[in-house]
Amino acid sequence: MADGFAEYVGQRHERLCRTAYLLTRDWQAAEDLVQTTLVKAWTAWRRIEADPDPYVYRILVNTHASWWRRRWRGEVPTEALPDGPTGPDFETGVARRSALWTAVGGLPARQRAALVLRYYDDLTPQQVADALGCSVGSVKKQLSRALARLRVDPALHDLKLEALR
Amino acid sequence: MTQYTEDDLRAVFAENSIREDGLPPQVSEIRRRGARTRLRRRATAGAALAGAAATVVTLAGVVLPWPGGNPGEPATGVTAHFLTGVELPRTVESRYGPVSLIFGRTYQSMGEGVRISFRPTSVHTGVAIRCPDPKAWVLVRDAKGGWHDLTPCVRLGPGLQVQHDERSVTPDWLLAPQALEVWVFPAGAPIGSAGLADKCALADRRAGKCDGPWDREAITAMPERLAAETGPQPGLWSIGVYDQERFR
Repeated sequence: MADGFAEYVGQRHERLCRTAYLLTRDWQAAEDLVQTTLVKAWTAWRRIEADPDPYVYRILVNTHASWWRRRWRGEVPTEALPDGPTGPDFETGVARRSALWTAVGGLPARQRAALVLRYYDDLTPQQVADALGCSVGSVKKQLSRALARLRVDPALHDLKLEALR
Repeated sequence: MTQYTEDDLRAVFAENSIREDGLPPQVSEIRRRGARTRLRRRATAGAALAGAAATVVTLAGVVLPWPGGNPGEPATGVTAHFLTGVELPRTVESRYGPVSLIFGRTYQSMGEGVRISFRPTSVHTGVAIRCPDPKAWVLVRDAKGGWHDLTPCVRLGPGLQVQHDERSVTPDWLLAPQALEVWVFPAGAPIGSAGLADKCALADRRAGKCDGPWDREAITAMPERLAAETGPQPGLWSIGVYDQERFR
């Protein structure tokens, strides 16, 4: 009674794992998250098979949020800014993106989820809103706040100063 | 973000989500876990309704002593006693509202298959199985091969185990009699754990065995092979088909 489910999993599994990795930053946790998400999707497959993505993304984000809520105590963003080159090398794209990756990792989970869905999965603001279970206005606010936090992130700020020297 | 653009974010996400090789999706494991989740939900919902289901219909009489009678035939005729654990309620709550018993039968033998036939009255036809031995196993198969469900009896809740809807029924659902195959295997049947096939060291794939026990997927495809190994054994179980009273 789940025609098409295997086909969907075959097509979307890797992409979902990558999205999950961007949320969890741990491949093992990402695969567990996707597996749990697909189990939940399977139980509702008959209702969602016509257009499963919105439902699957919503399960993915909600499941990650519930895991994150359970684990957040004592969890401190410890990913240090990598020891990068100094001087003009800061201007290279690699160093800039490395610092940006670290800075994104320090964002609150919901803001990070909004960024990932919008800029990695290329969902529209409405689709992101559906996945996060909120309004489009709330999504825009989350994205705006996330970008604002990145603007004032010390690591990125230091980088910009270095780059200007 | 004067220095960083949305394209930088896209590039960062794309670069950092690349990996050499990941595990392939385990679709069968997902389905197994999903089936367990579904059963747990039904059991929870059914438990809430158990108090309301005060009226039960006894579909069979006393247990005939083994090997008396014909084990493959349903136990009928004697109606003076209740059979603990195999009673089928007259109505059951379902996610599409209450459904009524349209077919019910109690059997006295495990380790062999039965085929039941019924005429649905709606697209929300449901099936309930009752088997008092928690370690026995039930396999329900669509006679046309469309779906199957292998479950230990301990996980069967008081409600429906399977229920159709508009999308799961076949085009002729309301036009012709439909059939199901049911196999109940005794507690000692050598049925492997979920995911056994993935860890099998001494696999006999053609036989469907893995280090001795039977692989669950092989059982659902060829239940008669496991039945041949266990042979018929005494054991009571019942099956009820429920449906809405009017066409929808």
